[in-house]
Amino acid sequence: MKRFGGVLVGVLLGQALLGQSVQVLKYEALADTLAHSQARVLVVNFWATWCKPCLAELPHFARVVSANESKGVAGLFVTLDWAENLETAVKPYLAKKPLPGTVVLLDEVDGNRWLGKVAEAWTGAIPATAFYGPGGTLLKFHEGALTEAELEQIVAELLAP
Amino acid sequence: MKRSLAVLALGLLVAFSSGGPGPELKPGAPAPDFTLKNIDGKMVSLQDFASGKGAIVTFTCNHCPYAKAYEDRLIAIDKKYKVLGYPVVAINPNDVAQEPTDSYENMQKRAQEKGFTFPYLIDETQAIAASYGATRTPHLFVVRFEGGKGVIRYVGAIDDNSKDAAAVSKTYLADALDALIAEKTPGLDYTKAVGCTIKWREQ
Repeated sequence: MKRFGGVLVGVLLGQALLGQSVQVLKYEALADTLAHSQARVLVVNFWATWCKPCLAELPHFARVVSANESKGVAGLFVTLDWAENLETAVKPYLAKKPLPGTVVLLDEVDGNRWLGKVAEAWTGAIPATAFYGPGGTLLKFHEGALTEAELEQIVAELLAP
Repeated sequence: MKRSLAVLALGLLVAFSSGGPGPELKPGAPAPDFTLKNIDGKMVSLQDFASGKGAIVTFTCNHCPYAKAYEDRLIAIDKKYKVLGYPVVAINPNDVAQEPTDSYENMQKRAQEKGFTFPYLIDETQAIAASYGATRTPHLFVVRFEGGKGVIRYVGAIDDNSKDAAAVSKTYLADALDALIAEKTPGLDYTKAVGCTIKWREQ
């Protein structure tokens, strides 16, 4: 236990020192990532450091994704912060609160170009979350915040055979 | 009949008091009327603009970085299109308990700092944002008066660059307004944009 705790502290310390890496990409690269997903359920959460309801729900995602990793659930956290704010806002936030999974910054300025490609129903408000099956099949989309119970229920439903 | 009307009325009451948004209204839908308090304390109605051609109903707020990024552009649009019959009417729908920056006093301050040339109304009950199905700030609905009745003719974004006004290449809103002013159908009457989710009152 002591040893495990030591490893855990080491990992957390490493993350704090090195910081969680954040790739800056355009929508096409994001779509490509989704299309190559092999997770049973890929939870893609759209957030930003300036979005209070996003920050409020991120811990739910961190817990639910971590708890279901062994069942094939993965997390992809897409921040819509502007690219100029990567070092000043996004990385400092992640240094304090690392996320379980990949974090990318979507460097787009015209929502009309890509929001509808993620989900026809998305009007553009964040937070928003899309759930994908292997190969990037959209299973479910939710515009607005999710409670931990709601998120758990969605993930359980999508994992059900 | 009477009873079913009463049930319907109750249903509507529940729908509006629940605080959640309705479906986003699309071009062609009748524009819900409103009477809301402006930052100068006076009440402003959509019908006040019926003597002109229409209005640019804009759900926006103080705190949201996307709303802020568009403040100057909204002022420029109001200056240009007010004289052409389409003034901006800004409405802040956010729950002040969740976002104190969006309080009535702070709306007054922000309007003064920025020199807003348009009304900036507070939607305290959130009923108007709910009736338009607004989801985010900024979220625009261009209303045209047709036979005295407001009809929505454009829904969506201001332009294609939320970050940098100097780098805009597609002026979605202005293009739609120009078409309407020329008595034409806008080529693009619905666009999407990233924005801050409207802070609906906790149920």
